[in-house]
Amino acid sequence: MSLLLYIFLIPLATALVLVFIPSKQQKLIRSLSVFATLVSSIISIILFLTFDYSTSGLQFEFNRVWIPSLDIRLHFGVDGLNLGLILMGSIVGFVAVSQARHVNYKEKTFYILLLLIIGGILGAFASLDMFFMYALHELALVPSFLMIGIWGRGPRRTFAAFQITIYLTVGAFIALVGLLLLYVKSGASSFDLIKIGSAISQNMINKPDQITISGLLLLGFGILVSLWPFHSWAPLGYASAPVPTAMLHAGVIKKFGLYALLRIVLTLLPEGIAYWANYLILLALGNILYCGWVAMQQKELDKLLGFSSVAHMGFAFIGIATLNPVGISGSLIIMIAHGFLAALAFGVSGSIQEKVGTGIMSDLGGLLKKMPFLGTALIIAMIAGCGMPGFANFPGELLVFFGGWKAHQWIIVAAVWGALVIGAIYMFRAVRSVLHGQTPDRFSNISDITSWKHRAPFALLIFMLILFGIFPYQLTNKFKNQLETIADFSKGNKAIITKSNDLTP
Amino acid sequence: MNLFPIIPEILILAIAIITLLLAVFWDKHPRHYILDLIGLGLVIAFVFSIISPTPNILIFGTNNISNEFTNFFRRFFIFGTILGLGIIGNKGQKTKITSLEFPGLVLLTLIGMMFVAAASDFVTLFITIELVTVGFLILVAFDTKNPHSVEAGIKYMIFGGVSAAFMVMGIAFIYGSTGTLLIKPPTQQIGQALSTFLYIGFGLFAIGICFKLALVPLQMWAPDVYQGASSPVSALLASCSKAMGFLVILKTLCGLGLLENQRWQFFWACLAVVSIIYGCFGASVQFDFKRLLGWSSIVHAGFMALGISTASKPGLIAIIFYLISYMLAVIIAFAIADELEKNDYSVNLSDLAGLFNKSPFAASALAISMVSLAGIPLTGGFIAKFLIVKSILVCAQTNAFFYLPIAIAVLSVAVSVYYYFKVIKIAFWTQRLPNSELQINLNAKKRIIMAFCVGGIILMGVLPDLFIEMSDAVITSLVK
Repeated sequence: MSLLLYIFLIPLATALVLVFIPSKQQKLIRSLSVFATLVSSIISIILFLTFDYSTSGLQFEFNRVWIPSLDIRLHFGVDGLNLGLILMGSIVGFVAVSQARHVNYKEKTFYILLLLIIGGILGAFASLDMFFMYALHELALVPSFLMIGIWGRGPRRTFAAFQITIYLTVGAFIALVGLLLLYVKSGASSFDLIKIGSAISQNMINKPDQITISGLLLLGFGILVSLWPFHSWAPLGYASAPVPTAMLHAGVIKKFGLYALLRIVLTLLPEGIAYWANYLILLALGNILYCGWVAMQQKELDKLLGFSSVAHMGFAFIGIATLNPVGISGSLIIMIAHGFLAALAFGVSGSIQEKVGTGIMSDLGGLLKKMPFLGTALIIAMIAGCGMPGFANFPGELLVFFGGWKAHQWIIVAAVWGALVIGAIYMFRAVRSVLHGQTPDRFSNISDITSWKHRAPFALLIFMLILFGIFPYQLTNKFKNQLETIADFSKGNKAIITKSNDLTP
Repeated sequence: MNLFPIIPEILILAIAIITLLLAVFWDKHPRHYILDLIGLGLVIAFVFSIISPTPNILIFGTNNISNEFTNFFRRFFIFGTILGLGIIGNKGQKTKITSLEFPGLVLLTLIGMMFVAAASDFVTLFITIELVTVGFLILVAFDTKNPHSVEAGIKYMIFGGVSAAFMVMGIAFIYGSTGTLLIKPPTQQIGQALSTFLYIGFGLFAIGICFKLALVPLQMWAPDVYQGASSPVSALLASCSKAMGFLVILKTLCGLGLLENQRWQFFWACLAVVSIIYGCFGASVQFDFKRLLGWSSIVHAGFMALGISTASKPGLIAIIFYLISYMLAVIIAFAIADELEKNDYSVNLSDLAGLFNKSPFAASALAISMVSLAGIPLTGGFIAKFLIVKSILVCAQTNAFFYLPIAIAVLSVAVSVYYYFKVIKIAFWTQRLPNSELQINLNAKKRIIMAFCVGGIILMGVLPDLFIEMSDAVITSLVK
């Protein structure tokens, strides 16, 4: 079995094991979960380091037929597109599980659901079969609904649970229709993306069909990624979800839609995406400007972070819509960087709220003195979010701007404005009202997190942000080969075939 | 005559008669073990139906007892009845079902359904369908002291009567045009008969059958009857009776050679779309759990009818798959409804509150059942909808009209997520009113059945191929 499978099978298997452990053994349940996600993230680091970026094509492949009548396959593998996302997802998964220590009601169920989400989304990233990509991603749906409802925060959590579930189901179902149409039109009679790719390269789908399919996929996956104007589920959902769920949703699960756009639309439907790119870029600008503007109005820290994470998705969309390797690689870096960033921001904000009991910013103040570690971590998250050099978001946004400059100068100007000015306004406002100033008397008894066990996960996220901020080449060299095949993409009408080394019939 | 192939029928008939005799002469209050013995008998019948040998045995003239299609549905009905009788809880045995007539009648309807599966001429078909309708009529109105139950019975009777009238009229027209009562007339006779009369006849017959499917236009009874009947009866109506309707439709459509006829494709697609919209609107405003399931059964009937409208093998395979996954899911739902029912058989949605705290097992099973009904991946319900949508998409390549049902299906999934997840929400985190204690005490039999159904739903979701292959064999023997 390929090393890749363990990354998502270990969390799923642990979830199954937890079902049979009596719920009184809370300590055992917790340590098992932390251990499982730790092992899975260590394996993903090994995978990342041993990935051979000098060749293009799939590595760590696993390919078996699962449903012969529909040719649905257990086909897993990594290439430049998903390697970084799997690394990010498994590390964020580990940090999210470690943040579940605040949960003190029905812990066993919580950990089972959390591990299901983590295993599912990592499997979705690793899968090269449309069916499993879709199904494993949807594994997060019901757990999120239950987690927001049962362990969620705030008075509107039932509404938030329904909103997020209905939005995500509709998005996923629209995307499913698009995927099925791709299946029908490609003529490959297979759900395996590699097979579909090679069938399409023989026999292109005609342009109107490409436009229909990619339109459906853009709409469906766009809803999953909170593309403006379908974003309203995201901020409320994150603010209402328990901290680990919010970290996973904002950090990892949301990247799935972008990844699917890269993997399916960009490589298989070049004319379709070319048709929609200009519309997509306008909607993405809506994300950046409108959601940035809304973020400025927020009174709650979590909602602000939610809107800012929606705004960040705009950059990733612009990167994809530039249709050139520079922009797309920027988009990939943003996806990975924002995963770490969103997890850090929601995790730290959750820890702070756990201590002070409220997330309304006007009630907070002067917390940096009382909690130097958490305060610093929050400031790091905030300035990384504004795209400060030194953190991983910076190279990503820079590449997106470079990539888009030629074709869309004014949009890039507006996006830069959104990133630097609007982002800075709400981020620094939040820093001022939460961390700076006089400490109110009612906060005289609160304290920072002290144990290294609690600090290490945040430190890990900050380390990753800085690492890829200083050495973005460590990310770009992994997908350089892949993107070079996309190089003549914006002019060409050729579908791109990913080379598969495991051609089990 | 070789009676070996109909041992299941004979066995079940014998049990039914013995049960009814016991009900009259012996004891008015059944003991646990009698229901268990009946269940055991059904299991034996099920085993016999599986090992029944040699294909194409004809009984009573031309009725084919042992092709793959008939056999599948015989097993399906026996199995559904085992599950349906198995979910009668302790409470039901003590308070509601005070007589052995109840299981006896269930067995008689089972016999009826099994002969519907075997029937190959319209007379047998009509008589056996009526046997089932009358049996269910008594079962629905079983608790005569309960006004809801009687109301449901009257509704079922009126709609059943209307449906029978439509069917008889339809059969008359079909007979008039083909000149034979066979469901599968010789080909040259159909060739001569492709006239307006055959269309009118089949149209009337199909509308009559819509009563069994709970499909528009004869769908109105479903919510009231599901609510007014006791849960095991509602479960049987939802699983077996609906499956019987589809069995009849598939058989007659294929037999009369009307399957790949564009007009009928259009007819089914329209009925399906209207049913889906109608059911979604109704289900989203319900406060009674069993009513909700009744409304949603209309939506599911619509989805399955979409499978018919594709007129293609994958579409029909999807129906068989859908029927199995739907049966497993509703059995769980009604098993829980059976525990919570009040004396008038209604289950408010708010009665489910606190279920997660009281019985995590029941709540999880309920959640999986609802998730499967809503069609979320890794459950059987998802694969069923997936197969249906896929087959319609293939259809839409030649006839653009079929993009409409797809759009409706997507919208209906959004609505159905709302009402199914509402059930999950109430079971998992709605607070109970302080003075009402949730009483749920699942007995071992019920637990086993629920665990089995949960396992089945998940198995269908992750290993659908087993079931797709089975459905493929069933449909192949039908359309070959």
